[in-house]
Amino acid sequence: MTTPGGVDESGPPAATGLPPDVPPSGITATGVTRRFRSVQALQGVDLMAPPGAITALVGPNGSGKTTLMLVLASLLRPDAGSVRIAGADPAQDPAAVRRHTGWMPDTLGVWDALTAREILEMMGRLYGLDRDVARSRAGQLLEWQELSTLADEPARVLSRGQQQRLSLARAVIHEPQVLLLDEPASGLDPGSRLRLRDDLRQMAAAGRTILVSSHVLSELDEMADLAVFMQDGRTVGVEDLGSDGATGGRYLITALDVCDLLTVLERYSVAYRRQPGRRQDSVSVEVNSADEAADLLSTLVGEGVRVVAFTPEASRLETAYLELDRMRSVAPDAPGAGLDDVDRADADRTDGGADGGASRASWRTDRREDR
Amino acid sequence: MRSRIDERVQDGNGGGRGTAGAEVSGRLGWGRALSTVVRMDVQQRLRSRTWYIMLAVWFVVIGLVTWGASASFNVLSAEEPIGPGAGRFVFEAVVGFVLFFGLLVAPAMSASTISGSRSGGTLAVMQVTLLTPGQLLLGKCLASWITALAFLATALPYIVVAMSMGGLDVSGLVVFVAMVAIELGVVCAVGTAVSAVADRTLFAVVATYLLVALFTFGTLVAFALTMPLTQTTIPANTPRWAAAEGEVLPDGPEACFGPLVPQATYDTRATYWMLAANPFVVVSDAVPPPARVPYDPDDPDTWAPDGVMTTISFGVRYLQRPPEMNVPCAYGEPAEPGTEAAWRGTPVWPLGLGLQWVVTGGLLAWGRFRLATPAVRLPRGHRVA
Repeated sequence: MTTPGGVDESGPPAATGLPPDVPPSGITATGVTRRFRSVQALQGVDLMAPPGAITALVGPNGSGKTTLMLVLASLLRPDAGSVRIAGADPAQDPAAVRRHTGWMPDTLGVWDALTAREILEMMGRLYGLDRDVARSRAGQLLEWQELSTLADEPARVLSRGQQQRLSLARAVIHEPQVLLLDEPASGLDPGSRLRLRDDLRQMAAAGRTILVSSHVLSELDEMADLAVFMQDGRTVGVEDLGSDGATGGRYLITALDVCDLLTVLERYSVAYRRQPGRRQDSVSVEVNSADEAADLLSTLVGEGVRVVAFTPEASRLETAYLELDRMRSVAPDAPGAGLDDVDRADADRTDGGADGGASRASWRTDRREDR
Repeated sequence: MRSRIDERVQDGNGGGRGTAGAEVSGRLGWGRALSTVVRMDVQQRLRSRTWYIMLAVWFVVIGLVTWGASASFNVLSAEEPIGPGAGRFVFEAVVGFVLFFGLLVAPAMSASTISGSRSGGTLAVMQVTLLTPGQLLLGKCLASWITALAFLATALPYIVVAMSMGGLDVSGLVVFVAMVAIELGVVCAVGTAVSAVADRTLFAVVATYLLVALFTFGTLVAFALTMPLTQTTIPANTPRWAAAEGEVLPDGPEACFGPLVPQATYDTRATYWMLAANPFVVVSDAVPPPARVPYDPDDPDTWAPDGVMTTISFGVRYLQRPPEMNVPCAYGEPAEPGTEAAWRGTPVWPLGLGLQWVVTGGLLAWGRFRLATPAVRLPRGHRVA
């Protein structure tokens, strides 16, 4: 297992910084469109992925993530729009882009009769590395991805996760500045996923530009600094995941004695929802901001509730994604008439009984009027 | 350059610094590109067990052909052969069979290369390297040619056997083997180009078979269909044969008499070229005819059959003769037996090979266009990756 940002020997043999004389780096795309016969796969993508950060490309199946990746990897010519990768335009100068770009496709392409070592060496040769350089790079990368013991077996004996790791090693054989990873974590076990996260974090710390696409939000949440949301071939939002620690949204509160917790919540007229199923000791509460969450927690603790857990119910990425989704579905209707809200009102056991009491709490000052 | 890379890699070991990727040269040299693509492809093919089983079966089959050819030579030849032996006959049978079988096998091997790696997901991975489309196409083409040549190489022991039977001149042998190799190369190039163009492997294989059939059978069909159109008439009259003891001497008529009457014959000089692109014609026509006839023309007891390839070559040259040579007495002149013997015709194999190369070149250009990235259009129903 590698350590994030560490300089240990098992880390990717990577450049640790950008020299000052290479100003244009990262990925910039503006107004990219692409049509496949009757399907408009991309209808205006604007994307900025800065160097030194991991940018997540998030969107439902069929939202154009892979098509965008292919355009960025210089495999597909966009109908319109401009793309710059490490300072070069893939449509004008694909060779320059390829020299600086590593691409890991979502389909696993493996030469099943070749060994992992041979695949890496030959791919290195195809990137213009000399024979012994390619050989030593291949050895290092195999060690880095812990494939050394399987290095001389035919690639067909590798498990899916091992093939994914080989695919990642292949993508970085020529020490690219920009990495395009299409669903890199699909099919990985939790351990391998953590590894992948650490590996990518380490490479980002070395100044590389990393764009990761996925529709599994939790795996991106662990690693990404920035999220770009795609829907129907458009980029619909950008979320900076690195700015502050927590946001509003639903929080899950677990207490030793759930009755205490419920009593206090009702006394303060906080809308809550009991967890269905096994988690009978937890309730879910919605807050508007990180401040509110902190206030609520200190109130609960101050009232003597023995809280053992107080965590956001959904990951930040998930929250942002659902938020976008909700805004999209709500937008054409009157505000507040979204399905999501109706569901929530049904599920909530609101504090009708304690209504109007003098003990109505003031931890939250501006919340209730919309109910 | 080299030392810089070494430094970089050693640096990289300990978390070094530098411009990643800057050490990679702008273009990939043809030698390096081709050798790498060929090695990847050939190794991938040679590591399958079925391949060796196929070669073993092939070895046995060629053995049977050799045995059958030498047996039939003995049956067909007269009782007192004075010729140099069965070597050339057996050799030509083996070469003809290798060519025939190669034409069957090469499309299957070449037409699955690019479409196969496209559906296997390895094509796009190679396309994002510094390989140019031309290098990729040519490398794949060479790789399938090398595997197809293994079939020719497997037959070599039997060629040695044929040599040991005598009557085989080395120049003819070398040209035969080289021409078969070239024909296999043409088929492999066609197959590779079609597999770059086609969307599906199955379609690529079928299309390549059809193209090979077009060369092999299409040429024959075209020639046969146009044959009636070449019918012409020659003013001929009756020959008087010099007869000795009731037996016709092979020296031709000694005189012609009687009125000139139009006699129907075929003038295939305008159509024989259609056969040129046939792979069998190309191979057999390129080989110089045997140094001497393997029998004494005056003594039927010494007669021995020509090899299959020599027969084909003679046949195509025969079709080039002017029509009056088909008639013993054209324009009132007796045909000269000397002109008949001296008639060699013109070689058709440069024309045939040229036609094949034009078609192959066109297909390769189309295939290269379809491999160019960033791609403008995708094969139907296929994602790039």
